[in-house]
Amino acid sequence: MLVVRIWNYIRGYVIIKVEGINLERFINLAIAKGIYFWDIERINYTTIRAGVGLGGYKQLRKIRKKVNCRVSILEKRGCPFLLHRVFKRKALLAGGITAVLIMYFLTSFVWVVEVEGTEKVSEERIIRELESFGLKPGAFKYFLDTGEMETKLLIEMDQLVWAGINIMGTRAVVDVVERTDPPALIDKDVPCNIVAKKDGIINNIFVYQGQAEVKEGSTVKAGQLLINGVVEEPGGSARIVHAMGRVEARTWYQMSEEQDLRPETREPTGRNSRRVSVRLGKYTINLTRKKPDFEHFDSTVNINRLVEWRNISLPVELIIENCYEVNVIEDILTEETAVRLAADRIRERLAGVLSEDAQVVDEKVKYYPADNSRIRVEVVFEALEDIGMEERIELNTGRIEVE
Amino acid sequence: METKTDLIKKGIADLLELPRDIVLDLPKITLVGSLQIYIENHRGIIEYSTGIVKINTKAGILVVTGTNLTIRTIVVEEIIIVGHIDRVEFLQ
Repeated sequence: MLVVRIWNYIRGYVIIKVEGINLERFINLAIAKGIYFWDIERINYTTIRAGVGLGGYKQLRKIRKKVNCRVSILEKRGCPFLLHRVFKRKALLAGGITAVLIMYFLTSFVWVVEVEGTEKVSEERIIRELESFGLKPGAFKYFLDTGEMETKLLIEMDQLVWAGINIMGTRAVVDVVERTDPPALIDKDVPCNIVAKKDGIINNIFVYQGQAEVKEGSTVKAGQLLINGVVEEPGGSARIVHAMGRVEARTWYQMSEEQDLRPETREPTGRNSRRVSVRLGKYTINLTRKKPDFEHFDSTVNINRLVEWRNISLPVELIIENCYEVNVIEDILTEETAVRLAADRIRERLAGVLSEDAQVVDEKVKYYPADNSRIRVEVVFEALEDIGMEERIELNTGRIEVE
Repeated sequence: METKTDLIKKGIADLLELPRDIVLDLPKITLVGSLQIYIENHRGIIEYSTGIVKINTKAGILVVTGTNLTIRTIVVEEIIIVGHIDRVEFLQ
């Protein structure tokens, strides 16, 4: 019934008052003609009130003569009347249209510039640069060449490696990625110490400048002082130098990996099928009936949303699932091969961690079953590497006499 | 009031287990508590006021009595009356 009500509202209807003696006859004649009445209400002995559609109201004229009664309109309701009233008020209409136009006009400008992804570079600096290219609050967004601005921004600012400008409505969102600089080397004439960057046992220590604080064979912890930049002179005074040297130490790395003893390889056969479904709020409707008749398959799921605006999205999604048939090939590995595979992977990982000048002198492989089908491999590496790291000496300690 | 054709029709309806309201052209009346009465297949309205509604049907005049009765919908085939319904009866 609600649908009928809404339809009537769109078409427009009137509430009428019928006055006469034989109103039942009036109603009977009207429905015989196919006029639809609703909410008929008796007001008093000679009067009824009813709702009738616009088309029906026009047809009532003939019946009115036959039955001899008076029909008058009490209320006019629905869209046609509403529109009529609105169109009669020219100023209101003009105001409405102007408001929409102004809204549209105002949304053609960039009002906010936001910068995301900055850590070291100041946002103001980027905003200032962009301003000089023309991207600032008040800029007409259809004239902005964001691609060119991105390039210009990267040229102007060395600290950035990537920039992306997205205009979302009236906001311009600038995403940047900063360059990560390698740690700066300390200048040759700036006093510094050499400290350990990781735990280890000293194998060799060559001091070019400074005073050795550890001996060969001693165990050091990360951060421990290795070569002191403060050199004590005989006679009690001290000299501060830029410590230099090579501290070679034995270091240990422990890494582990798990390896399936019966790994599966999935080989696509080339056959695939597609499943389409629509999600409405909590409900999912499958448009494609059949499930893929593959024994094994991999699938990718694409979710398409209708529109997305700010944070508001309609709860309607089109889900397309592509299923690719695969042949599953099970491989049975011997313990030996499994260990070798895992150890190879561990060595690869180690290579990523180890510094370039380090050399692996020893490795110990241990393995034990993780569960029924898996094996856990642990490798302990012993490496020889320079563990020295320069650390600036702060001169304001007051403890040191400077020549 | 039953004619010979009606008797034959009734016999056929019983024989074939057809719904009687269709074969005999009888009204189908549905009551929703005492709030609403729904009459299908009527023959026009005879009297209407807030306290009493008389409707012509093939089975006789249907009299609905109650208070605050209003005709919610009226079309050729059906009438819906809402309000507080006290009594529904047939006048032969």
